[in-house]
Amino acid sequence: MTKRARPPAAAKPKVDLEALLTRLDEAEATLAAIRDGHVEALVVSSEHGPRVYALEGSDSRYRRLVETMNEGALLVGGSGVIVYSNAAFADMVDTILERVIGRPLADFVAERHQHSLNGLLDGAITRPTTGEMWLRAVGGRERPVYLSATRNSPEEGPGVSVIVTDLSAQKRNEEIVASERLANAILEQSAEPIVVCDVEGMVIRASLAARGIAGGRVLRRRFFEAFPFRTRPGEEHPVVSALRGSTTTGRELTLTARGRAPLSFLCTAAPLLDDTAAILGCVVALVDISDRKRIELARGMLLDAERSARASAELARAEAEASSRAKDEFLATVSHELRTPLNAMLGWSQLLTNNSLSDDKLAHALEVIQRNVLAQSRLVEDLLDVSRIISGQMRLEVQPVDAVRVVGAAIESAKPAIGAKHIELDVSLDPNAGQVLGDANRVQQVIWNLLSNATKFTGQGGKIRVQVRRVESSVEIAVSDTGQGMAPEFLPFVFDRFRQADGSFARRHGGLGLGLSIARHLVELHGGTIAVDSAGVGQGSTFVVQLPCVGTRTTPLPLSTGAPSAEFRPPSELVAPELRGVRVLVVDDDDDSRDLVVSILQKCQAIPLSASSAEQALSLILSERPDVIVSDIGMPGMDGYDLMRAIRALPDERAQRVPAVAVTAYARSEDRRRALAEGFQLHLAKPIEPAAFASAVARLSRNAHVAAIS
Amino acid sequence: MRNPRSSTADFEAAAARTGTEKYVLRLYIAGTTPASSRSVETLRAICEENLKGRYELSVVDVFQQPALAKDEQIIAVPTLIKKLPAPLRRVVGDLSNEHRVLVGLDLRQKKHDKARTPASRR
Repeated sequence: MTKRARPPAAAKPKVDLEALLTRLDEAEATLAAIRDGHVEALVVSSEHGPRVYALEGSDSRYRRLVETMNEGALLVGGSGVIVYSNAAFADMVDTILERVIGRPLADFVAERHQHSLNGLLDGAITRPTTGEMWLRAVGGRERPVYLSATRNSPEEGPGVSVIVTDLSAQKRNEEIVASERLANAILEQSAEPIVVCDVEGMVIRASLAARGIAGGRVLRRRFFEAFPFRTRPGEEHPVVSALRGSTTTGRELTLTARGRAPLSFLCTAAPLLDDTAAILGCVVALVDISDRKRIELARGMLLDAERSARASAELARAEAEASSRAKDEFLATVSHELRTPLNAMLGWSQLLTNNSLSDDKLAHALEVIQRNVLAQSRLVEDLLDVSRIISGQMRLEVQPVDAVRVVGAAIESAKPAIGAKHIELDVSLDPNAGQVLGDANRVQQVIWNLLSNATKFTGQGGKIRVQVRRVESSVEIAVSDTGQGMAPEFLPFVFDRFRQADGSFARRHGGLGLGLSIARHLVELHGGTIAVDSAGVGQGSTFVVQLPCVGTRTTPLPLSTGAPSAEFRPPSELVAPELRGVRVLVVDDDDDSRDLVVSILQKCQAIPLSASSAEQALSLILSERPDVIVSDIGMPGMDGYDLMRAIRALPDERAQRVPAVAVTAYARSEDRRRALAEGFQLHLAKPIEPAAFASAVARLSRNAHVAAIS
Repeated sequence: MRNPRSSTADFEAAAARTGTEKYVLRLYIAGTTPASSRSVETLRAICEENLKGRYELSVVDVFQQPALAKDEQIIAVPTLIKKLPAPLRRVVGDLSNEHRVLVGLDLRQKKHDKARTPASRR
């Protein structure tokens, strides 16, 4: 339509006119199409609904066949587009018919089968083709189909007729058949008893193994009769449960067949359901555990043994490591503690040699050296005690001991240190506390250790309280302080050797921290107990020792076996005894040590004779007739032991019986035993304390004197 | 529009006007008759060529779904109805003439001089 042809008009009428003209065009075209034979069917409304009248080719009977058949029927144009489909195909691809016609068939075939589809359609041009492939429905679901394609007749134009057969059901049937075969094979070959029952509990299938354990006819018998399992009272039979729909897993059942030993089984029973979840029957699987049960016991015991062995090995290893670590730390501490006093001694003694000190400085220097010597010898004593404890060599000289007196002696020896720190000492001794059976020296050592510990951990102006009292059949000795106390978690380890606090702790306060460990051991040797309590860090500590009173002991004490006990020597000033006129032969290759001994003896008015070797000593013994011999052990050439044997073998009877004391750095208890066995009367460990040494010499000379008189 | 064959000036104009509009088309056919089959293939090809990605085509077989034919008052088959974009258009008869279809879909302007001649009704 041109602008010229249209009548000039207002906007609205113009639109109406345009619409009308369009409708007219359409109507004309419609009529022309019908008239020209381009229309093939007419749809006419009737009271029964729309009716279709085909204008050409009355093929309705064939058409209906195609429309209603179960197979999909398609016409596929030369371009691969579906130009006709029946409803069955639309159903197969899960959509409506309108969405199928006009779309390429390829849209409905699985990606992996596109190639097969093309081959099938192209091949159909020359001869009918068939093939299996998978359709891909609109929602993505796939189904197996069988396609057969035939070329259209030439007058129908290029294109292919395709019949699509759904194979889902067939495939499913094949699967079912296959799985049934599989199930039968499994059932027959199974080494385990498997039984299938119907809904009545009748056995309809049973594996060979199942028939074996039944020992009789199985099929078409009730499960309960064929397999007389015992169930526990109150327990439902697994088959009954399964037939009611619930699964039982691994229930232990016992089968008692006539004339046979009972067999144990693990029973699993599950319901057999159809597609609608209706119960068809049940499957019962049995596992014979009779043998397993028998070996279970044995294996359980083996496993336990193995596990505990492994655990204890692991524990031992961990303990060894911990202990080794603790020992390393301990040695480091020992080294440090031994060096510290040495440093003071060395320093002050060098100042002394310079002779440049004033009198009061001189006195101070001597005091410092003395104090450090004592401290170091205490350390060595502690170490030796620990060594004795470890090797089980600790021996007690047991006798009735007055607890109050021993505690009093310990307090006296600890007083200087307590006073030096301005710590208040509160002593409460019950004089009627009674006697304990024990080694006075060792009990005193325990109390001294506790006091020394309390002093160490209590600050200036603190307070230490000592209490001795009778508690039933024990004497209780309590040492409490207002010191720094300890955390509750540390309490259990207070008495452990190598486990005392952390390294930094010990170092800050000096000492090896062995005192408490030794104390516990000594108390236990006495048949007593030691306990510690602290309200926490900063709250002070209380140590309580309980020792059995005389007459109340129930267990015998390990008594001394001939060898004298290691003496406990509190660091106190003993008065040196007078040795006027006693002739003492001093044998030592080390000049300094010999000179020291000589000096001590001279101070006590004795007459020292010195020999720097065993050989020299032997000749002096014969020529000078000493009353007592003091000898070192470790000497070059002939050592102290050799000397002693030589002396004891002398033809001269008097010389042969000269009492001798070994003064040696070999301080272990086996060294002591050896010395006594070789003929020494006494064994003193270096460093010697002058007063103690003098006393020992005095004792020996007196004995010699008594022996000489008798 | 992406096809050089269709890039005539008037088509370009139409494309510029409607290039993003979505087409909803319904074709009525009658079973397996040759004209129906040809119409399906032709329409599909036209749509793929001119409206790719923006058309929705449904094909109704009036034999199998006569109720759907009644909805649109179909009296002759094949009939193509352009439901969207407005205005509604019908093309009745064999769709093998691509030009007639393009005009019916408003993808090409009518040439009235020719439209009135019998040539368009051959």
